[in-house]
Amino acid sequence: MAIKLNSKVTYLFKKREFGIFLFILVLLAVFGTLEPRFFRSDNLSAILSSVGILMVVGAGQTLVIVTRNIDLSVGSTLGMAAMVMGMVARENPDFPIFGLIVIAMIVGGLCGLLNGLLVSYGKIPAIIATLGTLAIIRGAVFLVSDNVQIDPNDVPQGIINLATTSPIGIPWLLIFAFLSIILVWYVSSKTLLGKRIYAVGSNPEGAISRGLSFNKITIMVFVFVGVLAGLGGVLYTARYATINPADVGRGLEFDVISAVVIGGTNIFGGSGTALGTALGCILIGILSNGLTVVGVSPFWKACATGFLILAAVAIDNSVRKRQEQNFLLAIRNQRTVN
Amino acid sequence: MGGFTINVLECKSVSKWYGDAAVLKSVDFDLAQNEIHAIVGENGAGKSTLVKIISGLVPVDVGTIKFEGSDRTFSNIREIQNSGVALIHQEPRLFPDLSVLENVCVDYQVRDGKSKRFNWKKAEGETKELLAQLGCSFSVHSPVKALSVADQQMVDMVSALRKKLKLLIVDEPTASLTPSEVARLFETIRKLNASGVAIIFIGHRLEEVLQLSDRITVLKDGEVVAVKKTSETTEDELIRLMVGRNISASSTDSKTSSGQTSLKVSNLESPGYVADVSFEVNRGEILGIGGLVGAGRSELLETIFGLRKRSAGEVISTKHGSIKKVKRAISSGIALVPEDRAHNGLFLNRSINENLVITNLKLTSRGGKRNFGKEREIGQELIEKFRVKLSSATQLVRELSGGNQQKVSLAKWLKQEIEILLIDEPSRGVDVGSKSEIHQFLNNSAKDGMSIIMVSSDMRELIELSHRIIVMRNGRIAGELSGSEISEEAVLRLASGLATAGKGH
Ligand SMILES: Nc1ncnc2c1ncn2[C@@H]1O[C@H](COP(=O)(O)OP(=O)(O)OP(=O)(O)O)[C@@H](O)[C@H]1O
Ligand SMILES: [Mg+2]
Repeated sequence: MAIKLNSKVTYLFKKREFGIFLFILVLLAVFGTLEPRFFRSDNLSAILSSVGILMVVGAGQTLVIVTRNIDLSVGSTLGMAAMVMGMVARENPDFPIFGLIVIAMIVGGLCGLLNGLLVSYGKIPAIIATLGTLAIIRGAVFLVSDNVQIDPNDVPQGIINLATTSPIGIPWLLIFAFLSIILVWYVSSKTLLGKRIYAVGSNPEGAISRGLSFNKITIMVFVFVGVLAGLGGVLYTARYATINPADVGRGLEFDVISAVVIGGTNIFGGSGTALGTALGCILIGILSNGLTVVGVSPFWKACATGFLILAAVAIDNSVRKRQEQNFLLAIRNQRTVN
Repeated sequence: MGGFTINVLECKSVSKWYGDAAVLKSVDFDLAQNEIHAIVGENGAGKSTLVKIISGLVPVDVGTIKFEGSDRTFSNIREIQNSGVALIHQEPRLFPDLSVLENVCVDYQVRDGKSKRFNWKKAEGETKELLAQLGCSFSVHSPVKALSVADQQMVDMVSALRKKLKLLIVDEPTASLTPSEVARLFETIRKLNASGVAIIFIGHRLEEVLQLSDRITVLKDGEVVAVKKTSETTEDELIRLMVGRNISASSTDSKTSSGQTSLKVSNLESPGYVADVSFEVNRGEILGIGGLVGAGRSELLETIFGLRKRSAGEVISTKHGSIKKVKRAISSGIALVPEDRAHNGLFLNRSINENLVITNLKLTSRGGKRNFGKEREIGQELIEKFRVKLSSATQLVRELSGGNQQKVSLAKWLKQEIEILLIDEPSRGVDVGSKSEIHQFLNNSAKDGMSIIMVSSDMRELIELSHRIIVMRNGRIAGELSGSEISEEAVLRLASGLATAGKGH
């Protein structure tokens, strides 16, 4: 009986993610037909790079949203991490690449810690707290950099190579993306910590009465998304080679949150998967690139993206509702039968 | 019992205030090892507050708590839980998105051997074993949101049992259980107690309290009014102590109805829950629906009301014709009071008064404009009628005790012109005094011509109130009892299939 139920559960998830997968195929077909250049290898690798950055940050955002929170400051955090790293590299051209990556992740982690403290001990709702830090951290990027951008020739070649090379053929950027998703998948499905994260999102009061350290878990997920946004800052630098205080990471929160929600993470907490987020990121990456390539004007592009996100979520919701009903029904039937 | 025993727990002059309201007034409470100590009292007497303090969920304002001989200052819940204290809440507090197994393990500490990784295989084995001991048949992998309230309670229980326990507190565990589930639960509690776990038990069903406990503490308005040895007290004495007045026994005098059919249900079917159900109800009749949890009783009410999709069958009101949709049901004078009132029926963050008038806006507003005077008036009337214990009508419903929340959600339905009342577990979690008020209300309404279809797992209530009883099993009608056929045994026999006949307790 347990086995039957189990396969039922995975079946449900498969179906959900299968829907997103189909949607991705449709987009590919449409964009490819409208504009054959879409499938050129340089365009595909551009898509992969932006998808990779989205995935790294999205992996962290998934856990934040699972706990009933949200981090709107990921774009600013990414910017801050990239900027600090870029400035260190500019002053010390011989600084080891590994060290630069660690610096970016620490800066990101500190931004995350700030968010986590505001939300947990400060008891400020995440949407407000991170709206504040979105502006504060962005302001700090200007202050720290004196509004001077980091130019490509100040960015070490080692960093730039992350977007294109690696020992095993796939660029580092994609390896990092893959690892982030795997890490979140592992934590959420295999570890007790992961179950606690989901528990906090599923029933906060219950979590407290079961003695789970509510604040600790909240801080942890915010630091986690911060660290990943820091890593995202490194990848952003690798890809664009320029760090402009006004542009770096701006608006990233929109794409990341869209990707996570399209990927099936419940905005009210308690459920969501790493695989779903990965697919959501691919969808958003393809959509935003494709609309540009087929020549949709930037204004229309914004509208179209928003519209497609709403449509995707609406369709997805109704499908999910039906599936959940069937699923519950199956369980009830089983109970009454035996 | 008797003889010299050591106290596991000693509470000395414990007091607690919420704002200006004193909820506990210098309460002394002690608990011996190997003892099952029951706490009884009216809704809002402070029972849950006392056990919340003992389990560290709520800080104590004044007083000391000694656990195993040493003073315990308020520290974090986790420490208290690790010292072997577990509280099973009045409403199960679970994580609906997680599976049964995950719910049970979520606060578990990893310490099996050297390995830092949690051993899911082992945990699954242990959980299955505990579930089997409690006689549960659901899979450890089902998501908890798919389980009934009773099953959820079992999951809550298993979560507590996984740890090394010294003191187990159960706050009204039987409110939504059927007799056989109660028997199983009691057996588990006794077994635990015999193995050295002290038990605090809170309950409103006094016969259960008397059956299970060694000692009984009676709370009234936050004060201990008596501590009795169970062997030396009676139900009547307890009621007198709790309520301070005599409860009129619900009048069972004339169980007669008019003989006029008011609602006819034929071949009703809702896939997976209700199959081929047909019956009629008369004006002025109370039709009881018995059966085990999961037999499809609540679902039947929901299907009649139009909340649940039906795949076949008809519901016909003699006066208003065929009923398919909720809107039509309401306009035909049908009302449904759901079982899970705390979630389906209340706005926890709004005031008591607002909750009471929300269903009665037609009476209290004109042209979309609220008449606050009228609202207060109706609110006051309902609060008095159902004896809701509160500090003011503008208090938030969230702050009421469990039983008082139940009363509010029940009361708000009962101000309307109802011809047919569908009511699910009318007295779940409600104290004896209010229970008899609710019973009187139902009896009187029936006398005035209302038809009542009542689902109840409380066997006494079902038998005392119903004119006729339909017993459901696996979504179908297993049998019908009326008049002198009605007995506890007959209901149980039908509910469980004939296999367990004669093995009620
Ligand atoms: N958070 C709170 N804020 C204000 N008042 C509260 C709060 N919690 C409980 N109370 C009040 O304390 C009193 C005692 O509540 P408690 O929950 O202990 O009652 P109880 O004896 O468990 O009742 P029941 O049988 O209904 O569960 C009630 O009058 C309730 O209104
Ligand atoms: Mg209570």
